[in-house]
Amino acid sequence: MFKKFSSEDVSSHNQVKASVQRKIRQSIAEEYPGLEPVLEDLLPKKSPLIVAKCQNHLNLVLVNNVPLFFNVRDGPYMPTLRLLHQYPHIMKKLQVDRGAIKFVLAGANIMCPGLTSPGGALDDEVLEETPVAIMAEGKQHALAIGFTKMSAKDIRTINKGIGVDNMHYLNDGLWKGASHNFMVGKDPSNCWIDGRCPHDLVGY
Amino acid sequence: MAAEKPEAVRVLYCPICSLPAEYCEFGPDFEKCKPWLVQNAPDLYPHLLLNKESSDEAAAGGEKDASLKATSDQLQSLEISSGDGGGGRGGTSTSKHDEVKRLPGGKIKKKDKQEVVIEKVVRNKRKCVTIIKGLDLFGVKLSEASKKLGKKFATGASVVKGPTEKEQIDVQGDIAYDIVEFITETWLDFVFRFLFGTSTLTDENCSQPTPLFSLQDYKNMDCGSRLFISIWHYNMSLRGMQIPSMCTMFTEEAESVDHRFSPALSCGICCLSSWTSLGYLGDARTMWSFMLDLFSLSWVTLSIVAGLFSGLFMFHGEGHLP
Repeated sequence: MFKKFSSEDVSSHNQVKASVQRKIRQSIAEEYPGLEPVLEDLLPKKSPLIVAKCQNHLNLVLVNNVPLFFNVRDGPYMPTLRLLHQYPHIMKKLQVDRGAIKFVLAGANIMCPGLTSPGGALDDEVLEETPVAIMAEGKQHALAIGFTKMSAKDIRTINKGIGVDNMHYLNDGLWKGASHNFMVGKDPSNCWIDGRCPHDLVGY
Repeated sequence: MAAEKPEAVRVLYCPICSLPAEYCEFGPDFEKCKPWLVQNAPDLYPHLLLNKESSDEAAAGGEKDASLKATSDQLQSLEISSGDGGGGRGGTSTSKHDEVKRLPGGKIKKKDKQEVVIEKVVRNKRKCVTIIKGLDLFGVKLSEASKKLGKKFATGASVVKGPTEKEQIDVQGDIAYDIVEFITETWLDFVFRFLFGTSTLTDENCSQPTPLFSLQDYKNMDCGSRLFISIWHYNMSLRGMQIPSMCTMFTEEAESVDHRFSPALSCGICCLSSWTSLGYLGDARTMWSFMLDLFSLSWVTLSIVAGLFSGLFMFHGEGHLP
Protein backbone atom coordinates (compact mmCIF):
# COMPACT_ATOMS: atom_id res chain seq x y z
CA MET A 1 0.00 0.00 0.00
CA PHE A 2 2.90 2.30 0.74
CA LYS A 3 5.02 1.02 -2.07
CA LYS A 4 4.97 4.38 -3.69
CA PHE A 5 4.27 6.98 -1.14
CA SER A 6 5.61 10.45 -0.80
CA SER A 7 4.65 13.80 0.55
CA GLU A 8 2.68 14.41 -2.59
CA ASP A 9 0.21 11.75 -1.65
CA VAL A 10 -0.72 13.65 1.46
CA SER A 11 -3.70 15.67 0.43
CA SER A 12 -4.22 17.46 3.71
CA HIS A 13 -2.99 17.35 7.23
CA ASN A 14 -5.03 18.87 9.96
CA GLN A 15 -4.93 19.06 13.65
CA VAL A 16 -8.01 17.19 14.72
CA LYS A 17 -10.71 18.15 17.16
CA ALA A 18 -10.32 16.99 20.73
CA SER A 19 -13.33 14.72 20.34
CA VAL A 20 -11.84 13.02 17.31
CA GLN A 21 -8.56 12.74 19.11
CA ARG A 22 -10.32 11.01 21.99
CA LYS A 23 -12.00 8.67 19.59
CA ILE A 24 -8.74 7.73 17.90
CA ARG A 25 -7.12 7.18 21.26
CA GLN A 26 -9.93 5.00 22.39
CA SER A 27 -9.96 2.82 19.33
CA ILE A 28 -6.20 2.41 19.51
CA ALA A 29 -6.42 1.50 23.17
CA GLU A 30 -9.07 -1.11 22.40
CA GLU A 31 -7.11 -2.51 19.53
CA TYR A 32 -3.81 -2.72 21.36
CA PRO A 33 -4.31 -3.31 25.07
CA GLY A 34 -0.60 -3.96 25.38
CA LEU A 35 0.04 -0.37 24.49
CA GLU A 36 -2.10 1.09 27.20
CA PRO A 37 0.62 1.85 29.76
CA VAL A 38 2.59 3.88 27.27
CA LEU A 39 -0.30 5.34 25.37
CA GLU A 40 -0.08 8.55 27.32
CA ASP A 41 3.50 8.94 26.21
CA LEU A 42 2.76 8.14 22.62
CA LEU A 43 -0.38 10.18 22.20
CA PRO A 44 -0.31 12.79 24.93
CA LYS A 45 -3.75 14.12 25.64
CA LYS A 46 -2.56 17.67 25.59
CA SER A 47 -0.32 17.78 22.59
CA PRO A 48 -1.88 18.28 19.19
CA LEU A 49 -2.69 15.23 17.17
CA ILE A 50 -2.43 15.61 13.42
CA VAL A 51 -4.27 13.42 10.98
CA ALA A 52 -2.92 13.41 7.47
CA LYS A 53 -5.34 12.34 4.82
CA CYS A 54 -3.78 10.67 1.85
CA GLN A 55 -4.78 9.07 -1.38
CA ASN A 56 -6.84 5.89 -1.32
CA HIS A 57 -8.73 6.77 1.86
CA LEU A 58 -5.64 6.43 3.92
CA ASN A 59 -5.20 8.29 7.19
CA LEU A 60 -1.97 8.79 9.05
CA VAL A 61 -1.91 9.74 12.70
CA LEU A 62 1.03 12.00 13.44
CA VAL A 63 2.38 13.26 16.71
CA ASN A 64 5.30 15.68 16.62
CA ASN A 65 5.47 15.16 12.88
CA VAL A 66 6.09 11.47 13.33
CA PRO A 67 3.64 9.04 11.83
CA LEU A 68 2.58 6.58 14.52
CA PHE A 69 -0.54 4.91 13.21
CA PHE A 70 -2.39 4.55 9.97
CA ASN A 71 -5.72 3.20 8.87
CA VAL A 72 -7.72 2.77 5.73
CA ARG A 73 -11.23 4.19 5.54
CA ASP A 74 -12.68 3.36 8.94
CA GLY A 75 -10.58 0.25 9.37
CA PRO A 76 -8.52 -0.62 12.41
CA TYR A 77 -5.55 1.52 13.29
CA MET A 78 -2.21 -0.08 12.64
CA PRO A 79 1.09 1.05 14.11
CA THR A 80 3.95 2.03 11.86
CA LEU A 81 6.92 -0.28 11.89
CA ARG A 82 9.05 2.15 13.86
CA LEU A 83 6.53 2.02 16.63
CA LEU A 84 6.11 -1.71 16.40
CA HIS A 85 9.85 -2.19 16.70
CA GLN A 86 9.78 -0.33 19.97
CA TYR A 87 6.83 -2.21 21.35
CA PRO A 88 6.94 -5.52 19.56
CA HIS A 89 4.43 -7.32 21.74
CA ILE A 90 1.40 -5.24 21.03
CA MET A 91 0.37 -7.20 17.96
CA LYS A 92 -0.24 -10.82 17.13
CA LYS A 93 2.63 -12.20 15.18
CA LEU A 94 2.96 -14.37 12.13
CA GLN A 95 6.33 -15.54 10.95
CA VAL A 96 7.44 -16.14 7.41
CA ASP A 97 10.32 -18.30 6.30
CA ARG A 98 13.62 -16.88 5.16
CA GLY A 99 12.89 -17.27 1.49
CA ALA A 100 9.91 -14.97 1.73
CA ILE A 101 11.78 -12.00 3.24
CA LYS A 102 13.05 -10.78 -0.07
CA PHE A 103 9.59 -10.68 -1.57
CA VAL A 104 7.90 -9.17 1.42
CA LEU A 105 10.48 -6.40 1.43
CA ALA A 106 9.64 -5.77 -2.20
CA GLY A 107 6.02 -5.29 -1.21
CA ALA A 108 4.51 -8.68 -2.00
CA ASN A 109 1.52 -9.94 -0.09
CA ILE A 110 2.21 -12.86 2.19
CA MET A 111 1.29 -16.21 0.70
CA CYS A 112 0.11 -19.08 2.84
CA PRO A 113 2.96 -21.49 2.07
CA GLY A 114 5.48 -19.01 3.43
CA LEU A 115 3.68 -19.08 6.75
CA THR A 116 3.10 -22.82 7.00
CA SER A 117 6.55 -23.99 5.93
CA PRO A 118 9.05 -25.09 8.62
CA GLY A 119 10.54 -21.60 8.84
CA GLY A 120 7.18 -19.95 9.37
CA ALA A 121 5.01 -19.77 12.44
CA LEU A 122 1.33 -19.13 12.97
CA ASP A 123 -0.57 -17.87 15.94
CA ASP A 124 -3.75 -19.89 15.94
CA GLU A 125 -5.75 -17.17 17.60
CA VAL A 126 -5.47 -14.88 14.62
CA LEU A 127 -8.77 -14.35 12.90
CA GLU A 128 -9.37 -12.97 9.46
CA GLU A 129 -9.35 -9.24 8.84
CA THR A 130 -7.03 -8.38 11.69
CA PRO A 131 -3.77 -6.48 11.66
CA VAL A 132 -0.75 -8.60 12.41
CA ALA A 133 2.98 -8.15 12.68
CA ILE A 134 4.96 -10.12 10.13
CA MET A 135 8.14 -11.49 11.62
CA ALA A 136 10.83 -13.41 9.77
CA GLU A 137 12.71 -16.60 10.37
CA GLY A 138 15.88 -15.91 12.34
CA LYS A 139 15.15 -12.21 12.69
CA GLN A 140 14.31 -10.34 15.82
CA HIS A 141 12.27 -7.48 14.47
CA ALA A 142 9.14 -7.28 12.42
CA LEU A 143 9.59 -6.67 8.73
CA ALA A 144 6.05 -5.82 7.76
CA ILE A 145 2.58 -5.11 9.00
CA GLY A 146 -0.17 -7.14 7.46
CA PHE A 147 -3.89 -7.46 7.39
CA THR A 148 -5.08 -11.06 7.37
CA LYS A 149 -7.27 -12.25 4.56
CA MET A 150 -7.95 -15.62 6.16
CA SER A 151 -7.89 -16.84 9.72
CA ALA A 152 -4.84 -18.74 10.88
CA LYS A 153 -6.75 -22.00 10.71
CA ASP A 154 -7.76 -21.36 7.14
CA ILE A 155 -4.21 -20.50 6.23
CA ARG A 156 -3.14 -23.84 7.62
CA THR A 157 -5.86 -25.86 5.91
CA ILE A 158 -6.12 -24.08 2.56
CA ASN A 159 -2.41 -23.32 2.32
CA LYS A 160 -2.73 -21.57 -1.00
CA GLY A 161 -2.84 -18.00 -2.23
CA ILE A 162 -2.66 -14.77 -0.31
CA GLY A 163 -2.96 -15.23 3.42
CA VAL A 164 -2.07 -11.76 4.58
CA ASP A 165 -2.15 -8.47 2.77
CA ASN A 166 1.06 -6.52 3.06
CA MET A 167 0.14 -3.09 4.36
CA HIS A 168 3.44 -1.57 5.36
CA TYR A 169 6.93 -3.03 5.10
CA LEU A 170 10.50 -2.04 5.72
CA ASN A 171 11.86 0.53 3.30
CA ASP A 172 8.55 1.34 1.69
CA GLY A 173 7.37 4.88 1.15
CA LEU A 174 6.06 5.36 4.66
CA TRP A 175 9.21 3.97 6.23
CA LYS A 176 11.41 6.23 4.17
CA GLY A 177 9.08 9.09 4.84
CA ALA A 178 9.46 8.59 8.55
CA SER A 179 13.23 8.33 8.13
CA HIS A 180 13.53 11.59 6.36
CA ASN A 181 10.61 13.12 8.08
CA PHE A 182 9.24 14.43 4.85
CA MET A 183 5.71 14.72 6.11
CA VAL A 184 6.20 18.14 7.43
CA GLY A 185 9.87 18.30 6.66
CA LYS A 186 11.17 20.82 9.11
CA ASP A 187 13.62 19.80 11.70
CA PRO A 188 16.26 17.27 10.75
CA SER A 189 16.89 16.62 14.43
CA ASN A 190 13.55 14.87 14.49
CA CYS A 191 14.95 12.42 12.06
CA TRP A 192 14.83 8.77 12.95
CA ILE A 193 17.68 7.80 10.79
CA ASP A 194 20.37 7.26 13.36
CA GLY A 195 18.13 4.99 15.35
CA ARG A 196 16.84 7.56 17.76
CA CYS A 197 13.25 8.49 17.68
CA PRO A 198 12.02 11.94 18.56
CA HIS A 199 10.50 10.56 21.70
CA ASP A 200 13.95 9.72 22.91
CA LEU A 201 14.83 13.33 22.55
CA VAL A 202 11.79 14.39 24.47
CA GLY A 203 12.87 11.85 27.03
CA TYR A 204 10.76 9.27 28.69
CA MET B 1 2.63 -7.64 28.01
CA ALA B 2 1.58 -7.49 31.61
CA ALA B 3 4.40 -5.24 32.79
CA GLU B 4 3.49 -1.89 34.21
CA LYS B 5 5.33 0.16 31.63
CA PRO B 6 6.98 -1.85 28.92
CA GLU B 7 10.37 -0.48 28.05
CA ALA B 8 10.69 0.69 24.49
CA VAL B 9 12.95 -1.63 22.58
CA ARG B 10 15.89 0.16 21.10
CA VAL B 11 16.45 -1.05 17.63
CA LEU B 12 19.75 -0.68 15.88
CA TYR B 13 19.09 0.96 12.55
CA CYS B 14 21.67 1.07 9.84
CA PRO B 15 22.35 4.70 8.96
CA ILE B 16 23.01 3.79 5.36
CA CYS B 17 19.91 1.92 4.30
CA SER B 18 17.80 2.87 7.34
CA LEU B 19 16.69 -0.71 7.90
CA PRO B 20 17.24 -2.54 11.16
CA ALA B 21 20.77 -3.90 11.04
CA GLU B 22 19.61 -7.47 10.67
CA TYR B 23 17.74 -6.66 7.46
CA CYS B 24 20.69 -4.96 5.79
CA GLU B 25 21.38 -8.09 3.80
CA PHE B 26 18.00 -7.65 2.15
CA GLY B 27 18.41 -3.92 1.78
CA PRO B 28 19.01 -1.93 -1.36
CA ASP B 29 22.77 -1.82 -1.03
CA PHE B 30 24.27 -4.42 1.24
CA GLU B 31 27.80 -3.77 0.04
CA LYS B 32 27.72 -0.21 1.24
CA CYS B 33 26.35 -1.18 4.63
CA LYS B 34 29.07 -3.76 5.25
CA PRO B 35 31.73 -1.53 6.79
CA TRP B 36 29.22 -0.10 9.19
CA LEU B 37 27.92 -3.52 10.09
CA VAL B 38 31.41 -4.79 10.81
CA GLN B 39 31.90 -1.96 13.24
CA ASN B 40 28.52 -1.79 14.89
CA ALA B 41 26.81 -5.09 14.57
CA PRO B 42 29.48 -7.74 14.28
CA ASP B 43 27.40 -10.38 16.03
CA LEU B 44 24.67 -10.23 13.42
CA TYR B 45 26.92 -11.05 10.52
CA PRO B 46 29.76 -13.17 11.86
CA HIS B 47 30.83 -14.27 8.40
CA LEU B 48 31.53 -10.67 7.41
CA LEU B 49 33.94 -10.32 10.26
CA LEU B 50 35.70 -13.51 9.30
CA ASN B 51 36.08 -12.33 5.73
CA LYS B 52 37.54 -9.09 6.85
CA GLU B 53 40.08 -10.69 9.15
CA SER B 54 41.24 -13.07 6.50
CA SER B 55 41.60 -10.26 4.03
CA ASP B 56 43.57 -8.30 6.60
CA GLU B 57 45.96 -11.17 7.03
CA ALA B 58 46.33 -11.64 3.36
CA ALA B 59 46.88 -7.94 2.89
CA ALA B 60 50.38 -8.33 4.29
CA GLY B 61 51.24 -10.50 1.33
CA GLY B 62 49.39 -9.64 -1.83
CA GLU B 63 49.06 -6.25 -3.42
CA LYS B 64 45.64 -7.07 -4.73
CA ASP B 65 44.29 -7.45 -1.25
CA ALA B 66 45.94 -4.25 -0.20
CA SER B 67 43.99 -2.35 -2.78
CA LEU B 68 40.86 -4.17 -1.69
CA LYS B 69 41.48 -3.10 1.84
CA ALA B 70 42.09 0.43 0.73
CA THR B 71 38.74 0.56 -0.92
CA SER B 72 37.06 -0.83 2.13
CA ASP B 73 38.85 1.75 4.24
CA GLN B 74 37.63 4.37 1.87
CA LEU B 75 34.16 3.08 2.29
CA GLN B 76 34.56 3.29 6.01
CA SER B 77 35.66 6.88 5.93
CA LEU B 78 32.75 7.57 3.66
CA GLU B 79 30.45 6.05 6.18
CA ILE B 80 31.88 8.14 8.97
CA SER B 81 31.42 11.35 7.09
CA SER B 82 27.80 10.50 6.45
CA GLY B 83 27.29 9.19 9.95
CA ASP B 84 27.42 12.55 11.65
CA GLY B 85 24.58 13.79 9.54
CA GLY B 86 24.44 17.52 9.01
CA GLY B 87 28.01 18.10 10.13
CA GLY B 88 29.60 15.86 7.53
CA ARG B 89 29.45 18.25 4.63
CA GLY B 90 33.12 18.91 4.37
CA GLY B 91 34.03 15.49 3.04
CA THR B 92 35.60 14.76 -0.28
CA SER B 93 33.60 15.43 -3.35
CA THR B 94 32.92 11.78 -4.01
CA SER B 95 31.57 11.13 -0.55
CA LYS B 96 29.39 14.17 -0.79
CA HIS B 97 28.08 13.01 -4.08
CA ASP B 98 27.23 9.63 -2.66
CA GLU B 99 25.59 11.13 0.33
CA VAL B 100 23.34 13.18 -1.79
CA LYS B 101 22.51 10.22 -3.90
CA ARG B 102 21.57 8.12 -0.95
CA LEU B 103 18.71 10.24 0.23
CA PRO B 104 15.82 9.53 -2.07
CA GLY B 105 13.71 12.65 -2.11
CA GLY B 106 15.78 13.90 0.80
CA LYS B 107 16.23 17.48 1.74
CA ILE B 108 19.78 17.97 0.62
CA LYS B 109 19.11 16.88 -2.90
CA LYS B 110 16.26 19.27 -3.26
CA LYS B 111 18.28 22.15 -1.96
CA ASP B 112 21.03 21.53 -4.42
CA LYS B 113 18.68 21.40 -7.33
CA GLN B 114 18.30 24.96 -8.42
CA GLU B 115 15.58 25.05 -10.95
CA VAL B 116 12.43 26.89 -11.70
CA VAL B 117 9.48 24.65 -12.27
CA ILE B 118 6.50 25.93 -14.17
CA GLU B 119 3.34 23.90 -13.87
CA LYS B 120 -0.11 24.25 -15.26
CA VAL B 121 -2.89 22.86 -13.13
CA VAL B 122 -6.33 22.54 -14.62
CA ARG B 123 -9.14 23.56 -12.39
CA ASN B 124 -12.85 23.33 -13.25
CA LYS B 125 -12.15 21.87 -16.66
CA ARG B 126 -11.51 25.04 -18.59
CA LYS B 127 -9.84 27.21 -16.03
CA CYS B 128 -6.34 26.76 -14.92
CA VAL B 129 -3.65 27.97 -12.64
CA THR B 130 0.02 28.34 -13.47
CA ILE B 131 2.33 27.46 -10.64
CA ILE B 132 5.89 28.69 -10.50
CA LYS B 133 8.19 27.02 -8.07
CA GLY B 134 11.74 27.66 -7.14
CA LEU B 135 12.13 31.32 -8.01
CA ASP B 136 13.18 31.99 -4.45
CA LEU B 137 16.17 29.71 -4.90
CA PHE B 138 17.63 32.31 -7.19
CA GLY B 139 17.15 35.11 -4.76
CA VAL B 140 14.02 36.54 -6.33
CA LYS B 141 11.64 37.96 -3.81
CA LEU B 142 8.41 36.06 -4.24
CA SER B 143 6.05 38.77 -3.08
CA GLU B 144 7.55 41.22 -5.54
CA ALA B 145 7.58 38.64 -8.27
CA SER B 146 3.91 37.83 -7.78
CA LYS B 147 3.02 41.49 -7.96
CA LYS B 148 4.94 41.90 -11.17
CA LEU B 149 3.34 38.84 -12.68
CA GLY B 150 -0.11 39.99 -11.67
CA LYS B 151 0.49 43.35 -13.28
CA LYS B 152 1.94 41.96 -16.44
CA PHE B 153 -0.74 39.39 -17.09
CA ALA B 154 -3.58 41.25 -15.42
CA THR B 155 -4.59 38.27 -13.33
CA GLY B 156 -4.52 37.26 -9.73
CA ALA B 157 -1.10 36.14 -8.59
CA SER B 158 -0.30 35.10 -5.09
CA VAL B 159 2.38 33.50 -3.01
CA VAL B 160 1.10 30.21 -1.69
CA LYS B 161 2.59 27.61 0.56
CA GLY B 162 3.12 24.43 -1.38
CA PRO B 163 2.56 20.89 -0.19
CA THR B 164 6.00 20.62 1.36
CA GLU B 165 5.83 24.04 2.95
CA LYS B 166 7.77 25.53 0.12
CA GLU B 167 6.51 28.77 -1.20
CA GLN B 168 5.36 29.02 -4.74
CA ILE B 169 3.55 31.52 -6.88
CA ASP B 170 0.09 30.74 -8.20
CA VAL B 171 -1.01 32.75 -11.18
CA GLN B 172 -4.51 32.49 -12.52
CA GLY B 173 -4.84 31.52 -16.13
CA ASP B 174 -2.67 29.66 -18.55
CA ILE B 175 0.49 31.65 -19.01
CA ALA B 176 2.95 28.81 -19.03
CA TYR B 177 4.43 29.90 -22.33
CA ASP B 178 4.39 33.62 -21.85
CA ILE B 179 5.92 33.33 -18.48
CA VAL B 180 9.19 31.92 -19.75
CA GLU B 181 9.76 35.02 -21.79
CA PHE B 182 8.71 37.21 -18.96
CA ILE B 183 11.08 35.59 -16.53
CA THR B 184 14.04 35.82 -18.85
CA GLU B 185 13.30 39.45 -19.48
CA THR B 186 12.59 40.51 -15.96
CA TRP B 187 15.21 38.66 -14.04
CA LEU B 188 18.19 38.92 -16.33
CA ASP B 189 20.14 38.99 -13.17
CA PHE B 190 19.13 35.61 -11.98
CA VAL B 191 19.55 34.01 -15.36
CA PHE B 192 23.00 35.46 -15.30
CA ARG B 193 23.63 33.85 -11.99
CA PHE B 194 22.38 30.58 -13.30
CA LEU B 195 24.61 30.70 -16.33
CA PHE B 196 27.74 32.12 -14.80
CA GLY B 197 27.62 31.20 -11.18
CA THR B 198 28.58 34.69 -10.06
CA SER B 199 26.39 36.35 -7.56
CA THR B 200 25.45 39.68 -9.05
CA LEU B 201 25.54 41.45 -12.32
CA THR B 202 27.94 44.33 -12.08
CA ASP B 203 30.07 46.05 -14.65
CA GLU B 204 33.21 44.50 -13.29
CA ASN B 205 32.35 40.89 -13.74
CA CYS B 206 30.36 41.66 -16.84
CA SER B 207 33.48 42.55 -18.74
CA GLN B 208 35.08 39.13 -18.73
CA PRO B 209 32.77 36.56 -17.23
CA THR B 210 33.09 32.97 -18.25
CA PRO B 211 30.02 30.81 -18.48
CA LEU B 212 29.70 27.74 -16.33
CA PHE B 213 29.41 25.66 -19.45
CA SER B 214 31.69 25.23 -22.41
CA LEU B 215 30.85 25.34 -26.06
CA GLN B 216 30.63 21.58 -26.03
CA ASP B 217 28.09 21.63 -23.22
CA TYR B 218 26.16 24.22 -25.07
CA LYS B 219 26.06 22.09 -28.15
CA ASN B 220 24.80 19.17 -26.16
CA MET B 221 21.89 21.09 -24.73
CA ASP B 222 18.45 20.62 -26.15
CA CYS B 223 17.25 23.20 -28.61
CA GLY B 224 14.92 24.77 -26.04
CA SER B 225 17.78 25.61 -23.70
CA ARG B 226 19.91 26.92 -26.52
CA LEU B 227 17.17 29.16 -27.75
CA PHE B 228 16.56 30.28 -24.22
CA ILE B 229 20.16 31.23 -23.75
CA SER B 230 20.43 33.02 -27.05
CA ILE B 231 17.23 34.93 -26.45
CA TRP B 232 18.51 35.89 -23.08
CA HIS B 233 21.78 37.05 -24.50
CA TYR B 234 19.91 39.03 -27.07
CA ASN B 235 17.96 40.73 -24.33
CA MET B 236 21.21 41.48 -22.58
CA SER B 237 22.80 42.92 -25.67
CA LEU B 238 19.82 45.19 -26.18
CA ARG B 239 20.64 46.59 -22.81
CA GLY B 240 24.20 47.12 -23.89
CA MET B 241 25.60 44.25 -21.87
CA GLN B 242 27.19 41.77 -24.21
CA ILE B 243 29.35 39.05 -22.93
CA PRO B 244 32.34 38.56 -25.22
CA SER B 245 32.88 34.95 -24.34
CA MET B 246 29.32 34.15 -25.20
CA CYS B 247 29.44 36.08 -28.43
CA THR B 248 32.34 34.03 -29.64
CA MET B 249 30.51 30.97 -28.52
CA PHE B 250 27.49 31.81 -30.55
CA THR B 251 29.56 32.65 -33.57
CA GLU B 252 31.41 29.39 -33.36
CA GLU B 253 28.21 27.57 -32.87
CA ALA B 254 26.51 29.22 -35.77
CA GLU B 255 29.42 28.27 -37.98
CA SER B 256 29.29 24.68 -36.92
CA VAL B 257 25.58 24.21 -37.36
CA ASP B 258 24.69 22.33 -40.47
CA HIS B 259 21.48 23.72 -41.74
CA ARG B 260 20.88 20.84 -44.09
CA PHE B 261 19.98 18.48 -41.30
CA SER B 262 17.40 20.41 -39.42
CA PRO B 263 16.75 23.60 -41.30
CA ALA B 264 14.16 25.08 -39.03
CA LEU B 265 16.10 24.56 -35.85
CA SER B 266 19.50 25.58 -37.09
CA CYS B 267 18.07 28.61 -38.83
CA GLY B 268 16.37 29.66 -35.65
CA ILE B 269 19.47 29.26 -33.59
CA CYS B 270 21.76 30.75 -36.16
CA CYS B 271 19.59 33.74 -36.67
CA LEU B 272 19.34 34.42 -33.03
CA SER B 273 22.91 33.73 -32.24
CA SER B 274 24.43 35.50 -35.20
CA TRP B 275 22.12 38.32 -34.55
CA THR B 276 23.18 38.66 -30.96
CA SER B 277 26.84 38.16 -31.64
CA LEU B 278 26.76 40.61 -34.50
CA GLY B 279 24.95 43.05 -32.34
CA TYR B 280 28.11 43.02 -30.35
CA LEU B 281 30.49 43.03 -33.27
CA GLY B 282 28.55 45.79 -34.86
CA ASP B 283 29.52 45.03 -38.41
CA ALA B 284 26.82 44.54 -41.00
CA ARG B 285 29.22 43.19 -43.59
CA THR B 286 30.26 40.38 -41.33
CA MET B 287 26.68 39.44 -41.06
CA TRP B 288 26.29 39.46 -44.78
CA SER B 289 29.20 37.09 -45.42
CA PHE B 290 28.05 35.10 -42.51
CA MET B 291 24.69 34.50 -44.06
CA LEU B 292 26.34 33.70 -47.33
CA ASP B 293 28.45 30.98 -45.75
CA LEU B 294 25.68 29.73 -43.68
CA PHE B 295 22.84 29.37 -46.08
CA SER B 296 24.06 28.39 -49.47
CA LEU B 297 20.64 29.37 -50.65
CA SER B 298 19.64 31.03 -53.83
CA TRP B 299 20.42 34.72 -53.97
CA VAL B 300 16.78 35.63 -53.99
CA THR B 301 16.01 33.87 -50.76
CA LEU B 302 19.17 35.17 -49.24
CA SER B 303 18.46 38.72 -50.08
CA ILE B 304 14.96 38.45 -48.70
CA VAL B 305 16.24 36.95 -45.50
CA ALA B 306 19.04 39.42 -45.24
CA GLY B 307 16.76 42.32 -45.96
CA LEU B 308 14.43 41.16 -43.27
CA PHE B 309 17.24 40.81 -40.87
CA SER B 310 19.02 43.99 -41.56
CA GLY B 311 15.70 45.72 -41.08
CA LEU B 312 15.27 44.15 -37.74
CA PHE B 313 18.88 44.77 -37.00
CA MET B 314 18.60 48.45 -37.74
CA PHE B 315 15.51 48.67 -35.71
CA HIS B 316 16.87 47.00 -32.62
CA GLY B 317 20.49 47.82 -32.74
CA GLU B 318 20.67 51.51 -33.52
CA GLY B 319 24.06 52.81 -32.69
CA HIS B 320 25.74 49.52 -33.34
CA LEU B 321 25.98 50.04 -37.04
CA PRO B 322 29.16 51.65 -38.33
